[in-house]
Amino acid sequence: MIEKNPEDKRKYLLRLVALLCLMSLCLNCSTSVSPPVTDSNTDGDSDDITNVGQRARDVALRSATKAATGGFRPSLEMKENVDFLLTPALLMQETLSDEIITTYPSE
Amino acid sequence: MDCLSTYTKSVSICTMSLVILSILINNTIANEITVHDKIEVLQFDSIIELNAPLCRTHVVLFARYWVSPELYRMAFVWAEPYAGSLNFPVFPRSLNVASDPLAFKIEHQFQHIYDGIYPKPLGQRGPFLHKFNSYYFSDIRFAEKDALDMRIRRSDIGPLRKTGESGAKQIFDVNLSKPVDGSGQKPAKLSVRATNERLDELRLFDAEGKLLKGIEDEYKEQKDGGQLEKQIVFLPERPITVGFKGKGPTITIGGEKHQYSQLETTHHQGGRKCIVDYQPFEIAGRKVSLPARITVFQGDSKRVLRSARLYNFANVELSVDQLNESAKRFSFLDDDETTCREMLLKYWLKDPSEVDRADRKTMEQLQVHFTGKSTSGMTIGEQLKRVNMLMQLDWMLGNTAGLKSDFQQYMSLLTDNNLSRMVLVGGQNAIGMTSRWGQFDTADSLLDIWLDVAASQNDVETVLNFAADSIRKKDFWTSVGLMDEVMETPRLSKSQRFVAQAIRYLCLSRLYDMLDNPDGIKNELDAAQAGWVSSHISAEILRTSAGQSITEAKQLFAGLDHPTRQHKVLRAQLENVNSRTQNEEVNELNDPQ
Repeated sequence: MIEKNPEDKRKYLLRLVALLCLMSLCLNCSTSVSPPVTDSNTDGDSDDITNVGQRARDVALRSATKAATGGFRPSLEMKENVDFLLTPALLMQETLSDEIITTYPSE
Repeated sequence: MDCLSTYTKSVSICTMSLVILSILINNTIANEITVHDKIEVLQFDSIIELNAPLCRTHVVLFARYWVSPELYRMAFVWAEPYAGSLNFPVFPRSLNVASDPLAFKIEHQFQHIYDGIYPKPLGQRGPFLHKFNSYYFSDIRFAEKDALDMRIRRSDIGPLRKTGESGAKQIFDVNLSKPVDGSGQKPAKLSVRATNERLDELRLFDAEGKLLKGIEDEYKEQKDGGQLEKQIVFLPERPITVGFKGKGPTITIGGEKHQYSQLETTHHQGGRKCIVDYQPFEIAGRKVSLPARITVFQGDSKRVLRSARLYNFANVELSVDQLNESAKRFSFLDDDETTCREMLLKYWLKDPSEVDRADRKTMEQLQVHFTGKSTSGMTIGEQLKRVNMLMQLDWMLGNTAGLKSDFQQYMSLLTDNNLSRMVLVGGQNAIGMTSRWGQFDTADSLLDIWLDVAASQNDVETVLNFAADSIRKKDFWTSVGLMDEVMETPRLSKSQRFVAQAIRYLCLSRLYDMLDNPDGIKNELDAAQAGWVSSHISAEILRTSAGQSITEAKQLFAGLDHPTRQHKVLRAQLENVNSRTQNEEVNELNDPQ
């Protein structure tokens, strides 16, 4: 085994330290150039939050609409029943006519 | 130059005005049907059953229709239930509706609130403004417009081909021209399926491609071709704009306030399935399929929302004058019936001893007249009108034997015409009315008749649902009797027995409350019921009977293998009522004063 020169040994150590410094620098640079991972996640969340917010508003509006229009439902039920009285006449008209196709007059 | 220009303009305006006027006059002449000209119309009678699941009501209307391709008229001769409340915008008896190319008309013999002549075109319905079960009957005219907007002409799809013996299908789509008035309802596209010149399926779509209506035709094969036998129509749920009177509601979401004068909700929730059954009929030597029964279901469920039976078809030739006369003669009250109505208004809920001598004589003459009136050729509606008038006279005169016999006839008319659900509703109302006249012994007799018919003509589930609704209407005593009758039914399931016993307990406990605290009775209906019950039974007996009922109901609940949500709700209700009653008893013991 050949024993190494102490000068060479010093140069080797210096090169090693320089390499480690360079690697560390590269790592730092890449970290600062690329968008921080945490920042990227925050943007996605922001979109999601906007969507969730919109969805929540839609759900809330639907729910409020349902509550606000509940009073109309019995009257819509009555409308269907009252309008049904015309159905026999209108359906019979369709049946008697040669021109019209019988398609049921919906009440 | 200026003068010439003004002159040209004036001439143009005059010419255009004359052209428009001549078009209007021509249209009017073309559309007008002279009142004296005879026209061929198809006359038929109809029994229309209307259910309102939200309001839990059942109404039956009896009408006669006259229909030609150009005009129609309908006249309502009677409606049930007569005694008690009827869920409809106007009492339908004597209501007339007529439509021809020029106008839509509504007329009622006594209630003129919706009377009117609406010239055509009828205009748009606009946002739906009615709430809490109200609805203007006159808005029915828009139903005609909506239906006419949806009509499809044969020329829209063109001639259908013969596809031969192989049964090959002809399938094609048709784009329809846009509606002139810009209404969104008119179909924009059709999808057609046909075999051998015969339409099998037709689907109507709006401009956005959404299904408006789907129709499937079924035929009965015959030597001379297929006869339309059944039509299955699917109506999907659709948005409807509702409008608020005033400023409308304010909805706050995320701290932001918005006020809405209109909102969109759903019409035909869950969709509608309509089945039309046809039957052959001969018109002018030609065999045609006429609708004989229309049934409308909620979505794909078995729940019937409404139905119409069409029968007594006849071709008649009448002038418009004669048609109007005929409709009024059929549906309006005649002099005797009007006198009976006046007597009823005069002696409403009065003791028979208060009827003066002259009026008593008039009523007795009316009784003889209505009893002797031949029912031959009468429709079921006319017969129900007659028997109801007899019952009115019985109440006013305190005629116990007559009332029993007329009530029996009333029940028979309903059962003979497959109106078993009206047996429940109408029978209960008539009994309630008898107790309101203070004729408790007669009410007992009617109750016995009713219980027999009601339980035998309806299945157990229908009776239980009816009794549950009766609790809301506060018809407790008749419901107790009905539950006792149901529990006599052989092969009653554990679940049905529990529900019956629970309803029985709830009714008994409410009756006990009434008898125990008469000062808490707020209205005449409750007072009449309490009076009727207390004429036979004491509060103490009611309490004991209720105690037995709840004990048995609890045992039955414990024995249920898989109690449903309905069972659990009912069980909780029992517990609530029971603990309230016990608390009141403890309070009474602590404070006997």
